[in-house]
Amino acid sequence: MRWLYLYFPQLYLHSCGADPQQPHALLAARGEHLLDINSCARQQGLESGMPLATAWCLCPTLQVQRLQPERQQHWLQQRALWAYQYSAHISLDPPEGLWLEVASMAKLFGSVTQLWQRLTDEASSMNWLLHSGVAATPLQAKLAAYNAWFSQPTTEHDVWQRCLQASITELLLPDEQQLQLQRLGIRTLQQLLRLPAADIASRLSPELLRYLQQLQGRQTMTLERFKPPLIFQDEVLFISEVEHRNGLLFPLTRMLASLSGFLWQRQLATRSVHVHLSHRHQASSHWPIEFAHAEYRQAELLFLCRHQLEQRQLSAPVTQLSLRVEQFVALHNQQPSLHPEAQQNADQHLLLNRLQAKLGPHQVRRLHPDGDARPEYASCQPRQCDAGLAPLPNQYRRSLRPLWLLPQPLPCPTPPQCEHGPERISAGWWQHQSVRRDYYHAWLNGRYAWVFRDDQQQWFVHGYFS
Amino acid sequence: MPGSFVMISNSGLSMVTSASPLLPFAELHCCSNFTFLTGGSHPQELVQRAAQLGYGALAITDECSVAGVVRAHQAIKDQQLALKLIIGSSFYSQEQRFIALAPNRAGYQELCQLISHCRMHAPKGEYQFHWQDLLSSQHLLLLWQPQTRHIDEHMRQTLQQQFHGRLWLLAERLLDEHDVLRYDAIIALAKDWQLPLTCGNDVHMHHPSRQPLQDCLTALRHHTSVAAGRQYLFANGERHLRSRKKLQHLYPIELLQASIDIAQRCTFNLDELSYQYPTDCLPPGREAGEYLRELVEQGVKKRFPKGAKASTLATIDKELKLIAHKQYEHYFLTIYDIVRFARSQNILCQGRGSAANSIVCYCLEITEVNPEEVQLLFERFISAERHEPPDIDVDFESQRREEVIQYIYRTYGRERAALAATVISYRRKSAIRDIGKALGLDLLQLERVMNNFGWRYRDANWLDELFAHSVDGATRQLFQQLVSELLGFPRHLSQHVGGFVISRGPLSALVPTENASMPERSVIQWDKDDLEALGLMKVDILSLGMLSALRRCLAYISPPNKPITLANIPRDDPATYAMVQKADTVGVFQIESRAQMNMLPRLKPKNYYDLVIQIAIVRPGPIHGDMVHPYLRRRNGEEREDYPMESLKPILQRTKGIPLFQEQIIAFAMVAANFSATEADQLRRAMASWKKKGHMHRLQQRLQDNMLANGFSLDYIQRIQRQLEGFGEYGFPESHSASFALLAYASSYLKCHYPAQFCCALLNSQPMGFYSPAQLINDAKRHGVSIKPVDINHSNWDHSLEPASSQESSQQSQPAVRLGLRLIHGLQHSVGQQLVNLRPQHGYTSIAQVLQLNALDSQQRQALASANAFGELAEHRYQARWQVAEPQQQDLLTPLNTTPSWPLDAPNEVEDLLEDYHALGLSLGRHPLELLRQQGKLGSSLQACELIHQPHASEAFVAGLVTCRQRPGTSAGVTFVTLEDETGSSNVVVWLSTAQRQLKTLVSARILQVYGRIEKDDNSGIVNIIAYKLLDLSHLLELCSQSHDFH
Repeated sequence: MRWLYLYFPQLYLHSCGADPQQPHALLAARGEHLLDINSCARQQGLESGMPLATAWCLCPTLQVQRLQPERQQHWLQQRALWAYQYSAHISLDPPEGLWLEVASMAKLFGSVTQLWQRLTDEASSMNWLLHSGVAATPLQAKLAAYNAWFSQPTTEHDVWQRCLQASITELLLPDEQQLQLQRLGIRTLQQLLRLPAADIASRLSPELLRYLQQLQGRQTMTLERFKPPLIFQDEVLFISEVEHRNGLLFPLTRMLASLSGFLWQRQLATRSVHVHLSHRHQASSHWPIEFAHAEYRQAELLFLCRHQLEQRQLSAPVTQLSLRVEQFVALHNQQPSLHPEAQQNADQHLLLNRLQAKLGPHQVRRLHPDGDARPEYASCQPRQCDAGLAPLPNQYRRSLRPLWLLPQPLPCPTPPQCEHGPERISAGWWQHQSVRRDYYHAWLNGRYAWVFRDDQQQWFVHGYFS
Repeated sequence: MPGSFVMISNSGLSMVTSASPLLPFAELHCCSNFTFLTGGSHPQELVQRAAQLGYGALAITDECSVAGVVRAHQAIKDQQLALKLIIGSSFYSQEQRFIALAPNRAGYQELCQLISHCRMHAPKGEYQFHWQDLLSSQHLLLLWQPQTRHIDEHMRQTLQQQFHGRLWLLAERLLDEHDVLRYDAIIALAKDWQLPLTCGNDVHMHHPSRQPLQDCLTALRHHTSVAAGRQYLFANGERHLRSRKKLQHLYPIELLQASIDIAQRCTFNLDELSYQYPTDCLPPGREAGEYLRELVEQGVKKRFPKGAKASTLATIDKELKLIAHKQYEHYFLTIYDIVRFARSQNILCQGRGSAANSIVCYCLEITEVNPEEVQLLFERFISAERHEPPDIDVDFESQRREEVIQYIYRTYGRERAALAATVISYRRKSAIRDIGKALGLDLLQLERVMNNFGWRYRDANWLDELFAHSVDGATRQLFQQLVSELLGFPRHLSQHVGGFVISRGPLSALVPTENASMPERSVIQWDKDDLEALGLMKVDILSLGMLSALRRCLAYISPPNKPITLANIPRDDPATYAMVQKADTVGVFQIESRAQMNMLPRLKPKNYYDLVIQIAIVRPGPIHGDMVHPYLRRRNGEEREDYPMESLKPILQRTKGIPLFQEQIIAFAMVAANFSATEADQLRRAMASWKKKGHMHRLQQRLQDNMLANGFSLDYIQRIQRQLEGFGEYGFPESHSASFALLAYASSYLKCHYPAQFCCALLNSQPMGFYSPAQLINDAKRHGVSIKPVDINHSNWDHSLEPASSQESSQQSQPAVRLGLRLIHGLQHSVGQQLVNLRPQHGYTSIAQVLQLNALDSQQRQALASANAFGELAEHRYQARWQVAEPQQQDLLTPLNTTPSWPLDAPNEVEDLLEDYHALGLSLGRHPLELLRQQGKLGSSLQACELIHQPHASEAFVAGLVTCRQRPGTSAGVTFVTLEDETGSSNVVVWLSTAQRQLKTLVSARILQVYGRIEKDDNSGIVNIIAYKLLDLSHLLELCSQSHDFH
């Protein structure tokens, strides 16, 4: 018995936190048919594949959400990580299944059945819905799991016998394939296996033949191994407690050197590094250090970490220092290039990293035009490290605006001498903050100011030109 | 200075202070909501507001379109506004904006041609404009607004030369960020180039309060929400019709004056559009009226071979005089010509609607209602006071309607004939969805709320109710306001089903055309209502499936060289009426629906006029208005007919004193309440839209007052008024019902006497009618018709008739119906045709022989195999399918090697049945219910034919295939289900409470078992079952039959 298949029904709905007492359903990214439903919804008579309108007719309180494929992949990977303790060879079968190769682990757990028992116990303790199947070949295990044939692992022979009696609908073949077989009067696997192999390949489809061969174990199924995500972790245990943060620098330097080597070997860089400090009588402190641009060189890493450390205080003496890096980005070619612009970019990144290190991550911001007519909303200030802001179309307004915009408009006691204007701005109704202002340029106390008058005929100053 | 506007610029032009009197002004740059997803106001709102503000004139200049001008024009006339409407259109490109205005008829023509030119060279909904397109214009006035700083010198010179004296630069103060710079720049340009200047305001809405809606439209146009699409929005709400006081502050006098000068040069009014009917149908040298009379006289001889009655001839005379007076001769001649063409091609056609009121039309063979059998009211069709042109709708055979359309295009050309448009506007659901998108709300939640809302029974506060619990306070108010404003806004133009406009001169001189989504079709920019308002002729070329079926059936029963026509069918055949009275009317035109079948045994029609009433009486209106029962009661002698006034008798006697038809309403109002013909017609129209407008109440009041004055009792008045309310939208014109009754009788006669041919004809004319092919065949079988399966060696593409073999058919002389290859799902017409054409004289001898045909790809072969079309060439269909899956021989030289085929098991009866349904949609084997019953799976369920023998109010089980599931709007939540088994159909009634308890079963079951109480009416023999419990038995057979589901 080599293979264990784990099938997690309702994986998405369970992981996204849907309340099990309420009916929930999942829709594909496009389309109006239910992809999956939770048990509460099933009790109300819903079925997957049902059109949405019918579903609402039967269950008016149904909550619906659209599938986001990255999240589904992520949750499946989480399950795979969890299953890693039970087997070294795991293979993902999206959207909701995992293969585990268990023959090699049998000795560790005693027997396959004991492994299976522990695994299912742990799964049920976490309230996961799980169907499993154990068989000699991966496909047989999958069928056993999906169709919930056995409540306990049995012999290979039993599994195969059960397979033979399986109806075509239980074989998990693609729909057209199933239909084709149905219309030839073939109802069970046994009937299908009686047909000559050459005929299956030529008259039906070669994929079907391959499927049958793999099912019987005559052909191996290549399963891509799941690789857990990369993590870098390094620790230093202090013999005597460190009381001042300078004492952390030397071990940190060494760890950063090994991190740098790790990154360089894999041609990766990182933007965030996590420093964990364990204390004897307190809970451990966690210091996340982030950079605006990915970095891999030891000298830079040290510079940035040191500056960030300088701004923090040790709350208690440290017994253990550990460094952990979980997020990586691919390394772009950082060779000094002949192209002047590339060099400029690299310098810029360096400068921003250092600024951020000095001032703190939230203090370095970009200015990004936001398209709103109202001046106070006309730009937003995302942090430097926030990625991917949509660019605005070319015809973006390039208006006459003051260099310095006051954060709040200040009331202006006397109506000023207006020179240029008016410019009327009327917007914001969608946020229930409708503004209607007439803006002018005016001289105010010797300064060239940007003033406006609102609906109530009050005058305000909103900014100054240089 | 509070309230005043401070204007700073260095233009050097004279300004006006607030103390001067208001100058006149004309707005020349304005778009309505017919610039789709851009304009924020209806044309009517714009003209109203402009008149309110005291403008001298308003130009509606939608982008490359004049789709909205008729509504503006009509609004001005209806409300008698003191505003001149100028027709124009705007054309935008990246660098330029042009506005073309039509000063006179010739200019309007040029405008239409320009718009057509731009639209026809672009896909639907778009236009392609180059400034050179303007150069062919001699009359148009042009306003120009360059958008860039660098102007092509050549372009400027050419335009100035071509449009000498007709060109202005357009300056606009919109108070956005570059406003002053732009304004100064254009003034400088005007000086440099020595061009006159005028002003405009790029109006997008009639009032600044529409800004939120206009922003939503902008966001929708860019497929985003308002919050995410802020960069596309206008920065302020200044693009509205401004007050003249404000205009004086913004613009110098010279510019304001220029707008008035331009407006004064525009004298064109849409009423000038003298439409002229095409004269193609008039032979040269003849005069229209005299030719028409000649045709009518020929028709009289044909239609009344024994001579017409004196009253008929007098009416004909009256009609012809009225036609001459209104100069409609050419209209009738045109339609006569189209119908004549159709008949010459043997295309069955028949006029419908109010046109059937005309004896002239009857004589011209446009309609078929004989005036000596049915009372006709010509005033319903044309009257002296009404200024709208007549509207003749003609039904043609659905499968050959295209030939008629092509004839029209051939005869008149695409320049003179085009389809009318339909304006697709925002309805409730689409408005909610789009505003939801614009406001960035969760669309799935919105769908849920809309889905669970009972749309049918809601009144004016539906918006409040809809969102009472879902959206929070401030957003909800905003949402409601926006949705109510958006309702009724046009979204796009679509082509009308069959409404053709034909004119004497080129259409582009009257109205622009643009591309429709169907290739080779063009659409005008106006819809039916616009055409009616302007007096343009429209003829509706409609399609009716039953006409196809009738033609085919007549062809089947005709002996060679002696074709039988509809006119040859003997009238008043007792066997036919006997069949109709038993409600044995599956497949019969107009009286086959479940509701009709329920009424037939009660009303028991025994002559033609009874059929006319039967068709009109089963409508939602009369049922709701409580009109059915009084008529039936009186017919059965349970109630006395009452005519409070003797003069009412001739009007209402034929319907026993109950008004059932629109014509009766008109005549009634004229006699009982002294309405004139026009007012009575208004009453009729008001009834058609009384729910929407409330005119009904005003007219109802008058009706009541006048009737009281004439001495009617209050009780009678109230009874009549209740009946009128129920009339609503659904009252039929009598002529329409009479036209349809002719077809209903014809199809009943044919079904009664030639059931096999009738069935074959119906099957070949699908899709049409109320029933699926499976149900039609089952019904035919029950009448003893023998049906033969699809066979590659015997079937044609269409269903055909074969002589029956002696042991099969119960009636020896009746042919059998051989099902055609068209029934096979997935088989293409060309492939089927080829199979038939290449069939050897004695048929195909093996499957391999069939496979050699090139046209058959694997999908087609499998379709044939699964439908068991190979018949005797294969052992059974599974084997056939296996055989056709053989891989193709690549090498032509090797002999055809038939490898011994692996033997497969034959399908059992149930599997055969399922395969039949899957491949053909029906089965000729035993009915699924018969199988189930034999297997004992139905318990003690009765058969449908046994129900009539059960005592009233007894309880029983019944089971069957669900063939119809209806919940009519007026039924207060009751669902009607029809179950079919091997002996016939049974009617089940499910009350709302039962439905709610067993919703899933009711909604999704394909095979249903019902336990309920039998209700039997001995008079009519109608049996219904009131359901207590529903049980879904679909899993017993995993069947996928098709049910008629209506909500």
